Amino acid sequence: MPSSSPASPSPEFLPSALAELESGLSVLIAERLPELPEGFTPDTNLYDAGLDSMGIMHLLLAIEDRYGILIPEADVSQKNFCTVGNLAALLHARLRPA
Amino acid sequence: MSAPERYDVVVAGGGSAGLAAAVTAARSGARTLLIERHGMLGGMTSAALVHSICGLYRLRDEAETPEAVPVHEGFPAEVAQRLLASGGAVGPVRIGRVDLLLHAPSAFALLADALTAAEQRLTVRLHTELITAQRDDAAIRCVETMTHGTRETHEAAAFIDTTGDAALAVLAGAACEQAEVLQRPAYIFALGGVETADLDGDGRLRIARALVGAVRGGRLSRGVLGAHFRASHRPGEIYVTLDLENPPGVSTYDPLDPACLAALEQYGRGLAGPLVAALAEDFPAFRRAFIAALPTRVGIRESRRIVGEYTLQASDLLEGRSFPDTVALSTWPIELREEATGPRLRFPAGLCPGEIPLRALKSRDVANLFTAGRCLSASHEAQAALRVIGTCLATGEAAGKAAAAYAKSVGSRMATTQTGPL
Repeated sequence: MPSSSPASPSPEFLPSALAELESGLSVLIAERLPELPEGFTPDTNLYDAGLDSMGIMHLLLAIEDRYGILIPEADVSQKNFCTVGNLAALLHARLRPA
Repeated sequence: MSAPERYDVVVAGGGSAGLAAAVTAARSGARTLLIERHGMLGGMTSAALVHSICGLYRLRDEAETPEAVPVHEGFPAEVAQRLLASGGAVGPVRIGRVDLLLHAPSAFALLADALTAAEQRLTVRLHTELITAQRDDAAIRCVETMTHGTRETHEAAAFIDTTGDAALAVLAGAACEQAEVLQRPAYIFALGGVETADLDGDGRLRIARALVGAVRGGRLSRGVLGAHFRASHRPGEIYVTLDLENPPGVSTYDPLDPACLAALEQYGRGLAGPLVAALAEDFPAFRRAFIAALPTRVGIRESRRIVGEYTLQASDLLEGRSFPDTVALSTWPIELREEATGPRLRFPAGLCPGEIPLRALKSRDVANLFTAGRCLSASHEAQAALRVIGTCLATGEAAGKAAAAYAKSVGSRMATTQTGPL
């Protein structure tokens, strides 16, 4: 069962660099999207690789658990989930210390 | 108990494959009996509320092939054309590299009645279960059926197992097999009263966000995360497909285990009710939504399969292998759904149709037993491509022809009325 709220992020999971986020997200996504071509990039279209609304639900759970944040409804858009790059940019903005 | 009724061909299981097999056998001149356990024909295509027909069109890349290309002639094409003509289906609808027909399950059940009623040589038994199969040496002599306590015996020259579960084969002692890890089942139900215009791409994502939140908050169980939503072609109607995890208390998924099957049905309903209540509370588009139809039965993608004279392998389909006895084509990717978190797809080289030999529709060890549909002779992986409805219609038609020809060859009493156009 997922926890009722995302766990607080442990320090090593607070990457500030976009590149680190991209590689972390790539691992999470590759585990859940077996259709992703090998050597996919942050610009690879995830919908073309089979990401659908069910996949997004599982991905949301995983990302929120991993990074200890809640992605608000307003940020859950087709554009933000289209590529690893867009998702990393979204998380980067959310995780950056105010 | 009355005296046994004598047929040329008995078809066990009235899903899409059994319908195709029975109508084709009757049209080929065979006196045919079709046995179905539910009160309607269609199986997954009607009773389980599967609402799209896959495997009717070639796989294609849009740039190379701009239009959908039907792959089958004969019975599958007839079914598609009649569904479209009656308004019971729309399409083809393109999704990625596949095209499918979106149909109303009720329209398929009505069409199945019309198709069977038109065949004078075809008898249909509904609410009827197989209970035994008697053999003479290497061939089945008769089957016994039960209809709410009424027992009947049916003899035939040839038998077709389109039960989806190889139920006739196992009763007849024919070789069968079952993978240890099966494709996950799907629980499909219909909602009415939905403002479907509000369910655009971002609308679906908002639902996804809300469901994850409701699962985190303990308002919904994690099982709802297997949900897919698809608007039908009818106003206010959407279908929800829940790929099911194991119900609580069930450690191994086996749809042929009576306890597991009962648990699956109740688990599916138990997810559907709270899910719809939560959607109605959270989303204006669902405020007036109600469950318009629960399935008569949970959707099963894979269970027991018959071991045939040839067992189709994934490589046969992926590499486009040719056979001297090809009787049907497969035009669906290998769609593995061993996890309830979404499919893994494998497409054949060049997106070419896969060939299905007649030997994969004939039992290895029972001379007069044929099969079609999802329990044909294929590996676990190959079955993940062959199980779709368009291919079930095609293999059903092929099995119907082959069984009728077999019955004729062994000199059974064939109907003598004239065949041909009316």
